Amino acid sequence: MIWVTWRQHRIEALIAGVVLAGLIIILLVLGIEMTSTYQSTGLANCSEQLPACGELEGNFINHFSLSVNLITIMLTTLPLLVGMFIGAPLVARELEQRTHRLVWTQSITRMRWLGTKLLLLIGVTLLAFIALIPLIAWWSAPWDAVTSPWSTYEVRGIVLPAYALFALVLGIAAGILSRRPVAGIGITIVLFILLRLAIAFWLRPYFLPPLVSISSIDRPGAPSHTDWLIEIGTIDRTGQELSNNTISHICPQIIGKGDAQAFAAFQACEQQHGFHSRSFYQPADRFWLFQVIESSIFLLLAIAFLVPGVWFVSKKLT
Amino acid sequence: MIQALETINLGKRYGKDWALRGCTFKLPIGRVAGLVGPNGAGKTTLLHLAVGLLKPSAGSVQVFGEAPDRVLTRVGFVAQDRPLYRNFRVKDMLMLGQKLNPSWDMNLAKERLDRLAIPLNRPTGKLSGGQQAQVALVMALAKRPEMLILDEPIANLDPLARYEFQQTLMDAVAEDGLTVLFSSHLIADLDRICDYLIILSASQVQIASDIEPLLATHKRLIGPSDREASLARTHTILQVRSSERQSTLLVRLHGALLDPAWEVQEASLEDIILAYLALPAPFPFTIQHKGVQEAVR
Repeated sequence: MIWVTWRQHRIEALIAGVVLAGLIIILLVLGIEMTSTYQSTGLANCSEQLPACGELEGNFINHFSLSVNLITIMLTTLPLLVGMFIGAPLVARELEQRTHRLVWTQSITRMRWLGTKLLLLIGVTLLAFIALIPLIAWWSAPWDAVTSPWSTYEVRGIVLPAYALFALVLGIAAGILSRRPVAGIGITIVLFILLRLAIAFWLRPYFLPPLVSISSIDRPGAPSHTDWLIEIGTIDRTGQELSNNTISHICPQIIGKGDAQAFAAFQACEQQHGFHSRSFYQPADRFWLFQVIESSIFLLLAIAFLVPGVWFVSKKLT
Repeated sequence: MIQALETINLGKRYGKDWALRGCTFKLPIGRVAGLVGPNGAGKTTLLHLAVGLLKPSAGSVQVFGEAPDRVLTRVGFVAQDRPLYRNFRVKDMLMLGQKLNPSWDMNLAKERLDRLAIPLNRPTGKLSGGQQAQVALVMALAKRPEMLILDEPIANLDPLARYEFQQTLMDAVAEDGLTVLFSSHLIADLDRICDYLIILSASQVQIASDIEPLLATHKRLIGPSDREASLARTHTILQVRSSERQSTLLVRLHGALLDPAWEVQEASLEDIILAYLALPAPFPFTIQHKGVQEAVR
């Protein structure tokens, strides 16, 4: 069965190998560039107080934001590709070409057939993504130091392998339940993107209750640039959250004007009324806890799709 | 006695509709059995139940006295349309067979394909339909099965490919004494290969019998139309073609024909099958195997 799995997936394995090699080269090249810039410009020795450091940081971010964004997009798309091109056709292509009737009537049971394939493909996928973890962490280290560890949350650590596992299982289950590779691919794309976005935007900020920081109106935001700022607003003396309408009603100085003078007058007005800035944020030290929580969610989702898929193969397919 | 295949009241339901119902028959070891029936009669369902691809909704099916999925090693199956992995070379298919079957006989497989001049290095998708059918059959034979189950194995093949396929099949049967069960639309071909016949119609098994007693008890009678009624008292009239005074009947005889007014002619297997397939369902009776026990409904 191992040989059969290899024979059926060797082209995918070859393509995956090429993609992996390409990724490793890109990460190495950009990593070396980013690390050396970080060292040579003196950013590595910067502390926040030096005014020159602010400029260095700005230049660094401008210079590397495009490549960091592109790599982030590439890395977060990889799991979906695994689900689409390895997961969805796994059983569906057999059903489409009716070869399941050939392979399930040899001397092994269909459960052993499915079990071996699942084990091998899940194993290889996880291995490949886990192997990337140290390289990605090394590549993003300077960027994380300059910005925030949260900025590369989705590509660094254990969530990326968890996305890949989920996408693969989702693809397999979608292919089984729809019985057609193309439909399986479509369902995989839609569900993967929906669930990933829903969890990233609605659940992740609240895995743990965010911390609250109240600061003077002219120093808004979380205590440190390494924190993940989730929500920022203005409150009055009683701690009541104020809407933008209410604020501009009380302090109309800025309306229709964009210059610094008007802004200073506006801030002075706010301070006069005792307004403060309130931020909800997740501190940097929750990074790994959040990685574990999010990975567990995707692991559970994977199981939730795997169980009906396996059941369907064992009971419903002929 | 252990049968190659035995079903008792076997049924398969999809939602509300029964694809197969109340199916009871035996296929003794060593027979070459043809399974015939109109489209949608449940032939494929029955064969899938026999190889464990389907689980029964009612009744039971046993292969060599065991559940079908426990005897997969002893049964070679070729599914409808003879599926193969199209991007596998022929020798990859053989390797697959070897990896998935403990009893695989690689020499037999290579020797047969060699005899048929099928190139081992060609992807199966690039073979002709006839060659694909041969590869599928060789895959089933190289398992060294005790029974072969084939679902419409010669459908959509040209006459020569059909003939060659049957030749491979008959050689294997002659060498190994296999039991064979195969479904087909081509009644003329059944006549040449089979010694056992199963007729499935309207989701039920209507006949499961050796062919010889079938031929012995089914006759074509020609005689005066006004004697039909008295004939029907002792014998079963399956088919009537009448002109004004004279009738041509296909009759299943129960005992000797006493009325000398009827001229008796042999009926061909094709005539008999067509007569049964044309009968409105459900049939008035079923004939159990060997054609000796008869159950009246």
